[in-house]
Amino acid sequence: MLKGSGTRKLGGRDSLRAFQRFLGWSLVALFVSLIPSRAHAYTWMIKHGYASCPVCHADPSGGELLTSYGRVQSDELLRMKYGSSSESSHIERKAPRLVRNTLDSKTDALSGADDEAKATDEAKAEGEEEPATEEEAAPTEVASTESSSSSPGDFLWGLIKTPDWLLLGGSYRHLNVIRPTTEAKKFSTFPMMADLYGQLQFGNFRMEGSLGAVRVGVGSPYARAAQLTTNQGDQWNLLSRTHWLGYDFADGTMTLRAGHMNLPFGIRIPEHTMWVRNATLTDRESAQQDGVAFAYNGEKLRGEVMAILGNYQVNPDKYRQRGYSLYAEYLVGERTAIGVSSMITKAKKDRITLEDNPLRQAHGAYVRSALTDELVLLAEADLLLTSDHNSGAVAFAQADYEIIRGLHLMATGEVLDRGYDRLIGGPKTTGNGKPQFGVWGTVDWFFLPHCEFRADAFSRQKEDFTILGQLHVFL
Amino acid sequence: MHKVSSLKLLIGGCLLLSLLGSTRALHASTSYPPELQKALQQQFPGQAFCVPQCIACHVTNEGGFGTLNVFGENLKTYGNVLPAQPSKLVGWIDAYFKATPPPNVPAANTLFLDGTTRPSFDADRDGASDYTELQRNDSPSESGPAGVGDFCPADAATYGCFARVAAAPPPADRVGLFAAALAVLGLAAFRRRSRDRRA
Repeated sequence: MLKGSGTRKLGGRDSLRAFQRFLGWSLVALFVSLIPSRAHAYTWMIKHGYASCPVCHADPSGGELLTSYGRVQSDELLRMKYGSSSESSHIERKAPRLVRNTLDSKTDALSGADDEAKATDEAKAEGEEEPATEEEAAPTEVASTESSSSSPGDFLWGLIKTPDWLLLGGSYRHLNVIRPTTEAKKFSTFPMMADLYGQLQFGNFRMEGSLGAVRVGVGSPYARAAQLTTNQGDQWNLLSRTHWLGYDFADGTMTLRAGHMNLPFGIRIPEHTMWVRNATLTDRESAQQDGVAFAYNGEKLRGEVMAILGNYQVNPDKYRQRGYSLYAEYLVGERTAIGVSSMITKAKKDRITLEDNPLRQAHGAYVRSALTDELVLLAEADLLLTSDHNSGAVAFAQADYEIIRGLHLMATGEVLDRGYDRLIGGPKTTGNGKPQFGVWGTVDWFFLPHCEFRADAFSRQKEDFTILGQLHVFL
Repeated sequence: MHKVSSLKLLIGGCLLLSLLGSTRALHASTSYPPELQKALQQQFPGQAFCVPQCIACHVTNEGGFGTLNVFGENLKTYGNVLPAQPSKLVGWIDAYFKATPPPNVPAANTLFLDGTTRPSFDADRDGASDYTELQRNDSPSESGPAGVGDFCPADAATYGCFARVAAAPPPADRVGLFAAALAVLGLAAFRRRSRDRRA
């Protein structure tokens, strides 16, 4: 926050200052109401030494629901700090037990590598930290120096302290789409996501779920596959993107889950329309499937394999894909990870292309690397093998440069060839037997705790130049 | 659970309301499918048509610009169909069926409902015109047996698990503004409360 602002109050002794502050908040409010959303896990957190995901997320492979520790890290590492001497939370949150012993190498607020975290480190040095015990099963264990006051690790900006066995979260994304050169509608604005998440944990047993509301048009490919309610038109529907039961083994390094989950494949980026996620049907928008998954999160090696039993929110059964999906990632050095992914699914009919007996395969590799403290490179390439198509491929590379804390500039290139469709026939076209290219430029600003504004401009062959403005509030 | 004061609950409630209160319709316009249904019902009176999926004119059900299939391309090129004007689609479809295909454009002899027989567009080059295939509920973009019964498949994918909920009108924009204002007030009150406590 602004330097010195902590001594002033809204509507306090300085009425002019109070009015300015009110005006500022009002502008934020206007922004919230006018500019809608999309996002989630941030794979570039590897630059802070966080190669694995359960430190900050309930899902062992990352995404959505934050742990209490993850919420603190979001406040300490993600958001922009204002003023010359930033505030520190002075609140210590213990990391989930399984990862606590690896945190010494992190460059985050709790390990002491950042100047802004020095105050926190000093508090830690005074002997607050205790070794893990058998009782510390919950990932939300608290060791607070201000246990009676709110902290960034609490739900809803610290407003609500939840018990150790309960995690709550949520995500709201609002998106503005501008297509300046299109012959069609040039501007649209809509809320993309309004979900709440929760997890109950009793000992090693966990139960997680999400619930949201959405309204999409007839024929929309989005959100439908996550519907709980059965309206097929443009009415409102309740949806659940994830709901699963899990059991942690081996001090939490292994997790067995059953339920409706994100597919373990590739880099879990938030951009669900990026071709690597879209063409492999592994995005987190509504591509989740029911199944059984086993995740391992070791110090160097992590991975997850899932037996896909089909999406039981899609009917009839002929449209359900069954098969497997997996990834394995190895940490090379301190801040570089390389991984491989593989997925094979079979259905009796494809709900998107309506092709009969589609066999879909995707196999590939990826890398996440923090080249410097500011620059992170993400890259993934996958081979696409689909029945009745020639072999295709999809790839992307993204450079993420954090100019100052909380402000990221990103450049992304992507390429897609879905493989020539032999059923449709005709000449090879861009994306159908010939490569299709796209480039993105992005500004991503974490301007307040758990608030992100993101602007993307992308140009893809055969598509209109598009500008996206997105507000993301995550609880 | 820790004790939560009524003020905290109020603030939290305001914030939740602000998050959920401004949700409106999602994604790009999808008005073409119902207009295509209307157009076909006018072309083939007495025949029931579903609201077709995007794949009727696009390569996949994701639709979008630059993804037209052969039938969609034909409509665009020879039916002069333009984007973002779905209300004109009924007229454009009528014009497409009445048009005579230019030389070297795939076409097939077609028996129309008015009893006349003449060449009409055959986008998928399977020997049956788009008119004939739509009349039979076949896909005009998939050649041969692959497209049989695919325009309005009886077993089209449906979504959801259980109860149907009533449709609700989207909240007005002012509701969104009000919700955002509540969020701001909630945040401001929270900050004030936190600072009071520290002081």
